[in-house]
Amino acid sequence: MLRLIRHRLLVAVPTLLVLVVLAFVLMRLAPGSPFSSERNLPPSVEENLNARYGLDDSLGEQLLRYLGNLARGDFGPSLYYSDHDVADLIREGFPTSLRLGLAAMILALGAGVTAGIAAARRPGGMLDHLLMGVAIAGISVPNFVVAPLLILVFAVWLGWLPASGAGPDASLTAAGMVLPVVALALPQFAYVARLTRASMLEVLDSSYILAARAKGLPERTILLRHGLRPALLPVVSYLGPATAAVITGSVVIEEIFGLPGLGRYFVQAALNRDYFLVLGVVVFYGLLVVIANLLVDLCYGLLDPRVQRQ
Amino acid sequence: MSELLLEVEDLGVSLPTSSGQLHAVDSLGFSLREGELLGIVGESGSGKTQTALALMGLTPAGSRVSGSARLDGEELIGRPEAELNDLRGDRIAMVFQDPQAALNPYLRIGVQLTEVLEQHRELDAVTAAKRATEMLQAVGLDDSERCMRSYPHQLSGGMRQRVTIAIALLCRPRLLIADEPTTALDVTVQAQILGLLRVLKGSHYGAGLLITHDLAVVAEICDRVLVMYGGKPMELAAVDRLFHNGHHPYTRALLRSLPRLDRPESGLVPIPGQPGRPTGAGCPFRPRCAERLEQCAAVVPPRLDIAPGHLSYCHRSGPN
Amino acid sequence: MSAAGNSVAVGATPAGSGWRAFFNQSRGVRVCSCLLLAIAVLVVFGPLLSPYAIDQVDWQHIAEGPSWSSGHWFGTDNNGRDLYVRTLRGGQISLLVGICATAISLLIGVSYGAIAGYAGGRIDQVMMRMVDVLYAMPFMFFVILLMVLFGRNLLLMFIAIGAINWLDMARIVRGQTLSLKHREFVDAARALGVPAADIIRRHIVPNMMNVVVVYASLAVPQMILVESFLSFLGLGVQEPMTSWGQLVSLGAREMESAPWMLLFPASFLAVTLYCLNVLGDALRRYNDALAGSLRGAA
Repeated sequence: MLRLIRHRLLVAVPTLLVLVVLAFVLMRLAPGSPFSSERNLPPSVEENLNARYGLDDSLGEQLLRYLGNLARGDFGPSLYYSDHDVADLIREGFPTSLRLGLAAMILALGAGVTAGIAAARRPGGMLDHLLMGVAIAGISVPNFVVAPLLILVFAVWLGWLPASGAGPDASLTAAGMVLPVVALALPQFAYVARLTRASMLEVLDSSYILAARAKGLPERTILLRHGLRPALLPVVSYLGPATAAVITGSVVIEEIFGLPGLGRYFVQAALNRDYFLVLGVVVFYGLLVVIANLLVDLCYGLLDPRVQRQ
Repeated sequence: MSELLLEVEDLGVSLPTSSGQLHAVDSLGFSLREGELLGIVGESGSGKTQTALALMGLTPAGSRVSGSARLDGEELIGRPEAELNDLRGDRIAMVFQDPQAALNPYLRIGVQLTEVLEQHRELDAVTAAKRATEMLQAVGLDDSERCMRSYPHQLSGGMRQRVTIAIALLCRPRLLIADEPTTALDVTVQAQILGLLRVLKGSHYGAGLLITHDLAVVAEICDRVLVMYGGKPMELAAVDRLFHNGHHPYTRALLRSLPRLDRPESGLVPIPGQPGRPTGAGCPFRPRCAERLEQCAAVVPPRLDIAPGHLSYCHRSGPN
Repeated sequence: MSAAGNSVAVGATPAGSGWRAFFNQSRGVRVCSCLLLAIAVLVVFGPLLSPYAIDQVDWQHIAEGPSWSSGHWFGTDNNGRDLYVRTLRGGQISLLVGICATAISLLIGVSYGAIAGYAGGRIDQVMMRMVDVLYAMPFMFFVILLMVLFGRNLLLMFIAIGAINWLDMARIVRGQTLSLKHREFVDAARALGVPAADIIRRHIVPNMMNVVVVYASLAVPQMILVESFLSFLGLGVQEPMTSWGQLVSLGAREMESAPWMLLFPASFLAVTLYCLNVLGDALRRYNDALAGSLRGAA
């Protein structure tokens, strides 16, 4: 178990490093600069600004300085929101994104695992066909299609829920979170349901389930005590990619529902050539994915006794 | 004369395959007395395991079971699933071939034992744990406390099979079915496990059905033997009688293929051909049989009473 | 009768092989194939039926609902452009992206995986560790970055989208290569002195085509999804060209006043992706069953 975590950390460090370097180089190779695009500044002012943010040094120097600052937790200043640090902006936007993302993950996992088990109980049955049809739809229909449709039906036509996640004073309301969470969770629900069904069917076909049936245990015990744990293993290893997918998805969902989260910054920041903000968001998300993968390994150890001993 | 514990009549199991229904077991009949251990012998594909699963009510989905099997006079075949579930693990129990596969790798041994008692005896956790620990000791696991806390991968193969036997015996079943219980084990451990099954008979279970492909295992602990081939019964007799006066050509071929210490010069004679099932009626062994007659392909051999308690299904000894 | 429910019957086992057996798997497969074919035909030839061009503004009919008499069968958008033509032309782009990006991811993934698997040893380890590292990255962000920073170039988009998906393909292909590389016919070729590149190209890759095809078929809808995601963010194709994702994005903004602007492109996108996923799944099941029956016969 410890070895697994150590291995994960060994992969994590180069991952983050590659991430930063790649994003950094990409940003700087691109045409355009943070000060040239929209505001028409005289060249002397632009030079001054470049000097102030250290953008006139060589690329290598800038990269090293940035990495050094990162190591000390300094994400640098925002070039666009001129009196904000990137760290401030992240601190401001992240709680919303976290709440949205966590709620969506919990919903997707809970509903997906339940649906997967229900479908696996009678493979080929009515419920199985129905649930798996819904699951393929969930995978197929992108959440930026689902989200407007949800708004159209539940907010515009039926008027049951607000169309925007944020209330009048930009604070989040529980009712306002329902639609964004559902829209964000749907594709992950679909993946989890399909994974759970497939692995549950495989588990139910194993000898130890036959042996459990030979003990005369009720169906519930067989599914939940004997089948669930092994069936969850593939689902657990999917949590890493799921986190990445939810983060990506939150970019559009926050956009559509007007939520003041982190995802919204990203596209805007890239368009503004707000170098440090883009880098900061990429690094922060990379870190999140790495942490998610670590948690996955821990869960794996908890679920599978054979991992613990190693 | 003790009473009949299990009576099987005209048992049939057919399984769905891509090319239609396969008659895995066909017109099988035998009975089992209190305190008896019956061996069912056959090559792989002879229907022995399906016979065991049919008695447990655990044949694969889509299969059809016909005929009758009565445990202490109660019919098992066609019983509602809920009633069968009450019997399984309580009055009928099963030990599987591969203990590694039959134990759930994700659950502690203790849980896998106590859940049976909690289900069928409605014991509380403490009492169940105490009974389970005693049972582990009874099957020869001395460090039973530690064993209760272990996961299956922390035990050796022999210990694991003792555990599965303990699980099967927890409720003192009337009928114990052991499906190749020693095949996956080392030779030295095999003998210990067989000895255990023999010792516990009577005190821990009523009667046993030992399924094996190994005649030596049968000779060691069984009272009577049923020889199967291609899903059909070939011969049924007491062990001594079968070994010395085996009647059916298949039985004799099987015996010739065994090494004999008393007649080393005779050598081993393998049975020619591959095990399989010919289509159509008649005796399933006929393609490999050295003594086949014309009618073997046309007519199913009738049951012949060779001697009291000795049955054979072959045309050879028939009226012609 | 004594159904213990302990058997796995996922999909039907094909009674034979070939296209007929594939289509006989289920009614869903047949329906989806027909739908997909219909959409493909409509997308390719449909725009010819309409008198309107993709960027033609009809000042008489701005933001009007579907109507037969005006010739705007799917209605018009808020610029007075014909939605029927735009939806189908957008479909051309979306389908093209799906196919081209998949081809690119195949090219990268198959060569990378085959080389790693065939080389083995240290090279394999290093190459696969790199895949591990890349796997843990939020790839989508790089595509977004690329599109934002380098402008919306169609070719760049194919490459960027294709580059997302090659990791899975590389892993699968490596696994297949490992199992193939010690088979007799590969050993024989090696003994004859055939160069490694030729062995990979002529003996290894052709022998795992069925697995590759299955995964490629599942990749196509993913690629279309990524493109529409980018277009939705306004980073995809540029006007006057359009794609389903972009149309959905425009439609979403006007959905209260002109819901048809959302519903037509959204349904085309959803139905296409749904059918592609169903067919990909069916293809995988069919392939698994086929492999199973071959193994059983051996």
